[in-house]
Amino acid sequence: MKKLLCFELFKLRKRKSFYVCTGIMLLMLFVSVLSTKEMLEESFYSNLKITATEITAESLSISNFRLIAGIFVVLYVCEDFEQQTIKNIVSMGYSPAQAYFAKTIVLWIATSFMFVLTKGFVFAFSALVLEAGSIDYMFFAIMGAQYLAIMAELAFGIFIALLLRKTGRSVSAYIILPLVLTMVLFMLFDAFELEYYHLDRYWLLFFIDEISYLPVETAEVTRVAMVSPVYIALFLAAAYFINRKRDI
Amino acid sequence: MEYVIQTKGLTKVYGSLCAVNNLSLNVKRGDIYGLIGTNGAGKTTLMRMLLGLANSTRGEIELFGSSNLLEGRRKVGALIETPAFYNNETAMENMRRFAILNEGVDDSEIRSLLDFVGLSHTGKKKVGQFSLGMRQRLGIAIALLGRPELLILDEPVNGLDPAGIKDVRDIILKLNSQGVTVLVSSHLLDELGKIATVYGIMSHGFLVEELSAAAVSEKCGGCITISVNDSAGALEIIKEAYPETEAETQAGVVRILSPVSDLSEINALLVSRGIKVYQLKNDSLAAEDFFIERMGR
Repeated sequence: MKKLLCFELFKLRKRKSFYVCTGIMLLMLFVSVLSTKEMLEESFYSNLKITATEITAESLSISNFRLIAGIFVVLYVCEDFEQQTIKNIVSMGYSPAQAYFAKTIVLWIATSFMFVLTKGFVFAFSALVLEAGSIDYMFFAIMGAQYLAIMAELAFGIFIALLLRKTGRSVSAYIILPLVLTMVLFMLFDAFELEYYHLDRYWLLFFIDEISYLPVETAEVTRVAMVSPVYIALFLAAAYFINRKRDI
Repeated sequence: MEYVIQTKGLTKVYGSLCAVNNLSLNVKRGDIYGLIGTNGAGKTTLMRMLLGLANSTRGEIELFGSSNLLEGRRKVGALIETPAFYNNETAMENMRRFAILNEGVDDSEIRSLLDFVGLSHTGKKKVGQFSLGMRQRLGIAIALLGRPELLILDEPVNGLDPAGIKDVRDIILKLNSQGVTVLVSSHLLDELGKIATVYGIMSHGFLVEELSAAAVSEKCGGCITISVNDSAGALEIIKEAYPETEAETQAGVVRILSPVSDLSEINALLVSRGIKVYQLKNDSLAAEDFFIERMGR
């Protein structure tokens, strides 16, 4: 397992998409901070105050983190199936389950790195350019909840990639499927007048937006922090069983 | 007798199709086991199950006498279907990547493996630009990482030109002489005939027969038919010159049933003794017929 982890880490280090995706997110944040500064300098917005804390909280939406990191996850998982290199790994004495765990761990490391890097960058850069703002326990609670929501997205990406195994199909499904599913479910909820259940509050697709824009209420943060691990467990378990059941 | 592969009642069902049916295979250490069968006979599925690429529906597999297959597979090198690489990397880079998965493989070993398969000269050329033969040889080099005791090769000469086929054949023979057991599948009977020491004949998912190369040779090999003007005289001359040889006359022709090293020698002998030789035929097709009949075609 240790060798398999080293193999996956080596692969991550060589993946151009890892650097490209991280670079795109950093660039989007850089441009966003500069344009915010420019906007605040205009007399029309002179009374408006946007702090580094706020921009850091919003950065997941600004950088399209969900989409870009998700695409990276899908590309990473699909590569071994598309190029069939997974055959080499398994025939060298590693079980498909071990291959799955190694990939999941490395992707968790990679997305955590992306998360910390983008957050660190946007906070440091916007603190330099704008006012820093106050950092309290709520800020860290929001960051924690956002991290869990992103990990749930990562689990969804792994699930989709292991289900479909082809890059094109998986990327399309990762982007389109949640939108279609959301539309269908909400239509059904409307049709059966089930609005009372507030599905949107528990729907992964809305989590990031819900806790990205300050002020965020404690109840929202708590809900995201509690429901995200359920999504993580569900998607990772489903991905594990699909991977175990299917031939390579 | 040490078996490196043993299967008992191995079965793989895809929907309504039974790709491998109650198969019991025995591969001894040191063998070059040739798995023969038509397309769709179940050869690749069998190999995929041995390597853990496909789950078996029923049955047991033992590698190196143990049912701990993950441990056993560490001693196995494999090339299944088309070789798989990271195409935008060089041969050396690919080897380095997969070397991480093996115990104690350093750069010098990688270089010697590339040299062994004749790819040491490829330098910075990306694997994506390799010819089919080069890819096949690199696939074998990757399979050889970690010095496997058993090599599983699925149609390793498929699509190769004659020179490429000879290269792969030489590599297999060289490895076998170094003690590596080989399980190789092919539908090219002639090619397998040049290397296999044991044959397993597969048809429609069944292992029809397992037999040694000597047994095949005994059953159908060494049958030389000589058309002459005097078959009785020719038989006498042959028996006199080669007392060990099993021969007979049948319908005016002489049939030599035991293996003969040099046909031209017999021809020269008969001609020198005044026998007119009209036709001298090494009946090698008999082996092909033997396999085809068992493959159920």
